[in-house]
Amino acid sequence: MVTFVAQSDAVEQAWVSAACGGDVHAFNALVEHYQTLVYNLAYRTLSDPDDAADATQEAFFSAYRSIGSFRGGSFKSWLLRIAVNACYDLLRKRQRRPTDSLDALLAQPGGEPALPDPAAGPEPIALTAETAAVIQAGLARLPPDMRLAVVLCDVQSSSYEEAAQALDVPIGTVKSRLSRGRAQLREYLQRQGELPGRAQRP
Amino acid sequence: MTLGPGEHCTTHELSDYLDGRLGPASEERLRAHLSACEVCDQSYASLAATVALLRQLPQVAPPRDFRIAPRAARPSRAARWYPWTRAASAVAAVLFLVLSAVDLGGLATRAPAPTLNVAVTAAATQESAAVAQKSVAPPAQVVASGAAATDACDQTTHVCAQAVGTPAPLPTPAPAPPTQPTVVARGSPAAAASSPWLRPWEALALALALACAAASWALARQAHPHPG
Repeated sequence: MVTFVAQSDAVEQAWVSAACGGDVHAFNALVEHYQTLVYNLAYRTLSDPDDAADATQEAFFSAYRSIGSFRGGSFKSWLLRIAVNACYDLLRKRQRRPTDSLDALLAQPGGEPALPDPAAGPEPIALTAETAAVIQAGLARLPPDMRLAVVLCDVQSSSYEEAAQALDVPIGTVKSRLSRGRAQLREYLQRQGELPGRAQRP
Repeated sequence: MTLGPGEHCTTHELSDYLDGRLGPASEERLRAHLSACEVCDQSYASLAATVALLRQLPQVAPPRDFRIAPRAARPSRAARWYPWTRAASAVAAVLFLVLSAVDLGGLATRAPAPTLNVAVTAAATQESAAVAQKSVAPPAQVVASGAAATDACDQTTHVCAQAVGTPAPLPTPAPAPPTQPTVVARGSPAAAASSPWLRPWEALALALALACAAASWALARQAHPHPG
């Protein structure tokens, strides 16, 4: 397993070097490797498949244009940061486009329009589509800063360090956004009956 | 972290505890508190359940392939023009400097100073007159072509002055006496009649340099927008 990880790291390094030199095929190998991650980040942040696809495409175009400015380190963190910026851009665009509000998007029957990735394998505990839709609606109600921290750390299991790089904030900020986001989401899920009643807090 | 009898953990502490991000000592104290305080224990359990639900969210399949078509990957129009505008800017800037140097040379030698020392010929004075003549010829040709006038300007402001004047017959170096500096050229009176302000050619070159520099800057911004 360790050997495999080391090998795939080396392969990725080779792709990154070639892509820096303008090799579009090497860059596309990176796209293939990361597009599910980036698309899921965008989808969980934007709650809309079309917006998520637009943000993903924009993130990869942007990454391709600026790969020359990549200065080593983790390619994944660098890419996530571009993806986070693409999500913020789309959120800003959506604010200027008040006709299709978030509630209209979330009111779609079925709630969870995108299909689970068959390549992702069976989920350890099956989450019903309804519960997934409620969680997604709860995420959509979080302020974007908290939402991105929660999506990165809890949905995508990024480390605090990775999330801090992607969000371009200190680790302490990630921790506080994450804890507030988790708390707000918990209250929403409790109101929706997805979690046992609210703890009696003073 | 020490909690009194009526106190409860903050969400921040519970969140850090959940991620194993409290120090070992704080973690031990919090664990002891949770076992004694039902409110905090419930709060922790619900927070952990929230995170557990988030971790179970299924990964969704991307609706399409996001690979970049090699056609779309070709440099944009901005990226293709950028090297040319940058080069044009540099050329125009050099042209401006050359013209300015030539002009300044003309001003400096407005008073007639017909003879000049040329380093090349001075070095050659120890040698025969034939060798001296040969070594003077290249600078004279260079100046006549107007290409690398700056080099010559350092040494022969007068020759440069001639470059901006009307094309004069190519100066033919006289055979130099071994100990005397060589006479390279005679001043062109037309060149001396210059104004202290920018001449039209200089103004044009300066404007061109600035315009191309501005265009390069704009294209560079368009071609390489910085992420974030």
